[in-house]
Amino acid sequence: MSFLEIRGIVKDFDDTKVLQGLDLDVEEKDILVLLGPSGCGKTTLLRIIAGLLDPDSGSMTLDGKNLLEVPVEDRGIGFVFQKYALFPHMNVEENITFGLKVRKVGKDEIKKRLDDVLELVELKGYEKRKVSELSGGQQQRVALARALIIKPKLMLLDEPLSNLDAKLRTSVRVNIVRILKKLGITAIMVTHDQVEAMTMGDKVVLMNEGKISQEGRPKDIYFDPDNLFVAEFLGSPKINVLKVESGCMNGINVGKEMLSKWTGLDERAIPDGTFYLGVRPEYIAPADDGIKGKIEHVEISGADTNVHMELLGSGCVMRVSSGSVEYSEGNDVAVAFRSGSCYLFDSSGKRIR
Amino acid sequence: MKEKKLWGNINAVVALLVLLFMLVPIIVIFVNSFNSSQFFSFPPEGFTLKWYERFLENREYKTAIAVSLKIATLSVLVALLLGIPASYGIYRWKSPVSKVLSSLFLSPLMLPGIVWAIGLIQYYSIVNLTGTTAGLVAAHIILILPYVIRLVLSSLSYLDFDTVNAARTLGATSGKAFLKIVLPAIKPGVIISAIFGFMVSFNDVTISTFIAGTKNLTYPVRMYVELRTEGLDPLAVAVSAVIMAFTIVIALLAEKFWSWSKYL
Ligand SMILES: Nc1ncnc2c1ncn2[C@@H]1O[C@H](COP(=O)(O)OP(=O)(O)OP(=O)(O)O)[C@@H](O)[C@H]1O
Ligand SMILES: [Mg+2]
Repeated sequence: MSFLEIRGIVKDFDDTKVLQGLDLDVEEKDILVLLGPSGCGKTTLLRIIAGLLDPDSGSMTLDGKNLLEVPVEDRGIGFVFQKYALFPHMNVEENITFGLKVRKVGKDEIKKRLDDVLELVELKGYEKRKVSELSGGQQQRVALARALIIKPKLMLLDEPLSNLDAKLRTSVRVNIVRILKKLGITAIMVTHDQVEAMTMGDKVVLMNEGKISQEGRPKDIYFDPDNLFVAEFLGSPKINVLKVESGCMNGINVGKEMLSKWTGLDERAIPDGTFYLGVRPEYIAPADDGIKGKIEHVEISGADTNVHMELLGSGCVMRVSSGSVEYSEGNDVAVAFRSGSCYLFDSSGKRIR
Repeated sequence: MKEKKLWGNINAVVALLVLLFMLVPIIVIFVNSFNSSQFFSFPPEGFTLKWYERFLENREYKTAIAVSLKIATLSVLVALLLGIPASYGIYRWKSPVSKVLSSLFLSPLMLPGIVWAIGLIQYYSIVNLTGTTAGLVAAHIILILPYVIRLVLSSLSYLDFDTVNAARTLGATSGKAFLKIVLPAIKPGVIISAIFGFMVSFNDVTISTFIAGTKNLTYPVRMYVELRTEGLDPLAVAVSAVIMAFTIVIALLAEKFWSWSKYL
């Protein structure tokens, strides 16, 4: 039995179906990252776990206990809100110790735990500051400290980094993971950012339309997508998807032999009828005897260059190291897919393995 | 540039005139409360404290002020006790019904007091509330409630409800979260509506005249009755001066301790 076990959670808001029978398992001390497009129900799920919302049906157990029977205030689940939701009329210390004071923890114990947690989030010396006089990063740490001090069994973080600037994000990201790991806290973190998801999570869960599309280690979910949605959601630039209809691509006859040669797949593995071929930009490389295309647009993003081209009647992106070869718009190119890097998806988007 | 300066000067003059217009009656009352003449005269004929002495000896005015203070305090307290939960309910329960409810709660603000008072007399005579303290307090609560609900709702619109959610996840029951998070957040609305409500009750003539009865004559009613029967009496002027001084002192003290004007 998993530490947190969620089964068949359904939640509707009036006529919007948000969660549609969601199952999820979180192992103890893992950091699980929830990733998904806006409006897919990530925040709703966290609020249901915390007890701030009731599901229409389904069950949840935490450490073997039925969570739905426990009121919010007794769940012992820490929550870090996207906009931090610090108490504006309290200073840093009062904010952080709130959870201990309402539980009537003794003065000495409060003092000790406050010191520990301030050290952890590096906010020593800010105790008496008004929260409105803190920077975004500091407010974020107060929110984290406030949730950590109650020694939560489970920590829920709703896009904790989305209000920080790009530079700060990297350091805060590393810090949060360090703290959670050091304390051995089980956590679920929501994010929009796939770099965050890939770097912070022990496990990544991709949600789509109120269901889980795929879950797994960051590596697996990127390199071994179960469906077209997952393949397209992860990776920047996006994976190239080429539609094949009875051996034709945009009216160009390709045939199984050609497809087999390009993808390195066995001819027998290539389906009849309509299917999709997915290949990530970094697995396309120039090759003299490869597929012929035309360069439409070149984009240098630092170390890498994205070469947008027309290939077999579709738009395609190739990612190469900058500076190796000069690419110019309008020129012809010939490219090949790295062997074993192509995914096939059936017409409904499901991976063909 | 020159034109701008001219406009600035005109604005300053207008502001000064308005201020003067407001202040003159206050000054006249203060000055005249020391006027030794029995009749209103300006400038005053001589200095005296006898009207104040008469006030101190006058049981009727003193009781009337005590009644007013009592009624206003009670009405404000009950109106807050009813109005704060009602506003919170309207805020939390975001439905068309709550919109209707909140405009219903505000409707007494728009109704002419006298119309409402006439309805109230008839109603009170049926339920036997005419002339009772409870009846007067109840009427004043209705007068005050719209202010409380209006102002508390406007304070609530600035509340980030996730702060309440945060308090709940940290171990606060809904009641405790209300006390520790919601109440401090709506403090401005509560303070201002308490002050406003107190003034509304303390100064009300219309409603109180109709339903006060003899036992519960509030000071403005007493004064109004005296003015109608005896004309402008220097005693009434002295009473007005006392109340005015009292109000100003209270306003200054409240400013010092709660700095309430910043919430206006
Ligand atoms: N209180 C509510 N009443 C009605 N609909 C709601 C409510 N809360 C959320 N929804 C709807 O539920 C859906 C899921 O919302 P949710 O906030 O869980 O999405 P999300 O995945 O967190 O999105 P984002 O990434 O933008 O934060 C959305 O369509 C939203 O409009
Ligand atoms: Mg969200």
